[in-house]
Amino acid sequence: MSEGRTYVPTSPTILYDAPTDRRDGREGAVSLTVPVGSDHQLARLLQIGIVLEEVVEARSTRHARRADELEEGVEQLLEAAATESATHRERLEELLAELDADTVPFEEIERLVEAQYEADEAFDGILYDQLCNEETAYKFYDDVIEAIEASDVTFSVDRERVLETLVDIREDEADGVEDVTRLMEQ
Amino acid sequence: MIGKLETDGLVEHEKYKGVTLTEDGIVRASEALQNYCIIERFLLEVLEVEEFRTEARQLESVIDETVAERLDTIIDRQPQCPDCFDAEDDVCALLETPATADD
Repeated sequence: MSEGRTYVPTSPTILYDAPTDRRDGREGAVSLTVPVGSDHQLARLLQIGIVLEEVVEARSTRHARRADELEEGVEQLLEAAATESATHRERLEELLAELDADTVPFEEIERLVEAQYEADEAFDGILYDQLCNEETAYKFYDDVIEAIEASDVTFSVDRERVLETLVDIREDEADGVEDVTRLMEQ
Repeated sequence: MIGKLETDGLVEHEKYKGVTLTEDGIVRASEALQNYCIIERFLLEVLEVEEFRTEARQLESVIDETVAERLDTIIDRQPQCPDCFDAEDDVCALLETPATADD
């Protein structure tokens, strides 16, 4: 089990179970963690992490463009989220490059996000969307960390470095959840 | 496994007659299938993975419904999903795969 698990989601919308039972977030669920079996699988998971970060970055930037409708705290939060996601993406891309795999261009994901973006999202909707972004990212990294820790494969990239990077990012996501929750409660 | 599903109220097992999904079981199965459809479509449409069926099965345990929901915001999935899933071909019947695109 990974160390440093300090975040306990406070959102009433998405509830996670205790680690041993939290495969699908339902009470009594059985842990079905499948270890990461190869460089290829690890690269694919990092690509998905990059896409999730790009979705956050694109949606936060899109939300922040509606600055005249947002309170100051919200606008700052969205800008910080976009910046943080860009940083996470770059860190994941460094690992991905060492695995000799391609990243997913941000412009491509930004285009897909724009195509689906609903322009009429209300103020609460924006914060809720941001909360989902942060919680989803946290959950994803948590699962990936567990799947790497369960693996005995020797990757061509340093396993400890991968884990350190993912744990760092997961902590940022946990902080992000708390920031959004605080703002929603105000 | 059947015992666990039965304890969770997802299936009913009658000796010599077999197993039937309960209403809750049908809902859970439908959710799981929808997640699987999202992963397949994401792999093919966004990451352009040729072996998307194989990789979807490998990723199913790591991509839970919260993550799938986010991936769903950037794919073009039809409202009738997952009823459109073709179990025999292990793929959404509406997904335009490279093979069908060539047809």
